[in-house]
Amino acid sequence: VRTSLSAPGDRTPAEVLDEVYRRAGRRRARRRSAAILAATLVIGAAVPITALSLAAHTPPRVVVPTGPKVAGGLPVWTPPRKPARAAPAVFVDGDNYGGIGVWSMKTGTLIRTLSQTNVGPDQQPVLSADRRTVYFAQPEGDCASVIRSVPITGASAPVTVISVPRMLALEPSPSPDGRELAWVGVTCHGKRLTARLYITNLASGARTSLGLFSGELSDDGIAWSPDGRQLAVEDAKTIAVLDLDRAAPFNHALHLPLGPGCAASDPAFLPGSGLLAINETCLSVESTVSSSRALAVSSATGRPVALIAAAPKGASFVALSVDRSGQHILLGVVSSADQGTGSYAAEVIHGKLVTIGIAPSAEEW
Amino acid sequence: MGVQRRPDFDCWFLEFYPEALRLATRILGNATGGEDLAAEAFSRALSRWEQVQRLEYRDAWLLRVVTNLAIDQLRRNPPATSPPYRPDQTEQTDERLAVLAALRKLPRQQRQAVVLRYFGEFSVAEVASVLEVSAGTVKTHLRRGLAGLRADPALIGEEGQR
Repeated sequence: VRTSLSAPGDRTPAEVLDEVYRRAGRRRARRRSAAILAATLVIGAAVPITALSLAAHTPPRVVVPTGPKVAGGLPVWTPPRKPARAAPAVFVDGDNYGGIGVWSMKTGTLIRTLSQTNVGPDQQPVLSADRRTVYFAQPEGDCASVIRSVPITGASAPVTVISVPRMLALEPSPSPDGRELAWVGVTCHGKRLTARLYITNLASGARTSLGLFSGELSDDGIAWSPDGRQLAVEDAKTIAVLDLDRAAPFNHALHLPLGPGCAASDPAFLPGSGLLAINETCLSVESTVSSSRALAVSSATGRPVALIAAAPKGASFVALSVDRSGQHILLGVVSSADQGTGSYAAEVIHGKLVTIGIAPSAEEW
Repeated sequence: MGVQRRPDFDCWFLEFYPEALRLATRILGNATGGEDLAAEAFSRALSRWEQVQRLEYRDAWLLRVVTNLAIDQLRRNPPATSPPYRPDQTEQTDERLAVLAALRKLPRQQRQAVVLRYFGEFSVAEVASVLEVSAGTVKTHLRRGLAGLRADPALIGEEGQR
């Protein structure tokens, strides 16, 4: 990675950028070691443990209470009960080695790697509705990335499905019928990034622009409704719902009652309920996370109707995924205490977070 | 153990690194140290990118981190009076050290405002933007900060010796 920016020091900006990643990696490693130790201490004090391993790849199953049944006037979210469906057996995420991986819900461990990194780690994995194909973004250098797909079985190598010169192709989101892919294309020019929301027909390659995208370009910024007629997307600090049935997609931003310093992200439709699951993150004046909650809100108005889960103190939710039954919710959690990050996957069970395992923070069912 | 490469972070870094480097270099007084300090500030941003990327004024946040890191670094490793001996440079370094010692006694926002304005050579409006306060508040911080520096015995002593 080389750039034309001049620097008065000895190194090019690209070399400094590599150093930035190395330092962040070391900080993350230190943080992760501390998090494992802290979790062990908490567990040891709270519940009888018959077999406890300190190894990062065999984390214990931890139940973290998330507070009272009613929080801030909101009831705790309860999933539709009948017919009860088991949670998906696996989720996709980074593999901690720069590729995309398949992880076990039962053990919280990496089952297999699906991709090998190119110039930078692959990211933003998402599963198709039939759970056969994984889409992900793969960096290709300065402000360029492609979207690739790979069978979840790993039976064949990844293939490129979206590639536009000098554009970051990010946030792949396959439609429920698997025929289309919503994604965000970002062009870097000067000091500004311009992001647009696109839908590409995977058979013909035809691309339709749905307008500017003002989300955060992190994971989970786009969600299809189960019937494929609406898209929920991050829109500045809130969530917008696009009605795809109209000739020109109609975009209405939800009026989420967000407080100062708060933002909504990671929308996901809760099937059969008319609700969206979102993450709400609030930052304090010092830019630390003051609260992070997963909420169920009306997909028509944004009005919160239930609390799905509240993040433990010092942690925030950074990914949210709902399975097809709408009964199971997977959250990516990042511990944001101090300057480091320790991330893990957690499932919401009866309003409580159940840790699945220490994993990168882009978990998707 | 690596950190996932983030294209959006990379873009932000490439567009904003020169400004962070400029500030760090001005405060520290050397480009190599500035480079290292800017890298440290960005690595802290990357470590908590999920939160930082959502900040409305993340550029300002980063410049505050640069400022604080620079002040800390100067406190821990004051610039040496290195050979070859140059009287002007020595005098400047001594003066700088005295100012830095006095700065440590100021409240944080006064310290940040003074460093950004007089070490970083930012305008009042730019300091206001970085500190996310009004220009009037910056002027107040500067006025009080400078008054604090003028009243500092170490600086009075420096002036008295000349």
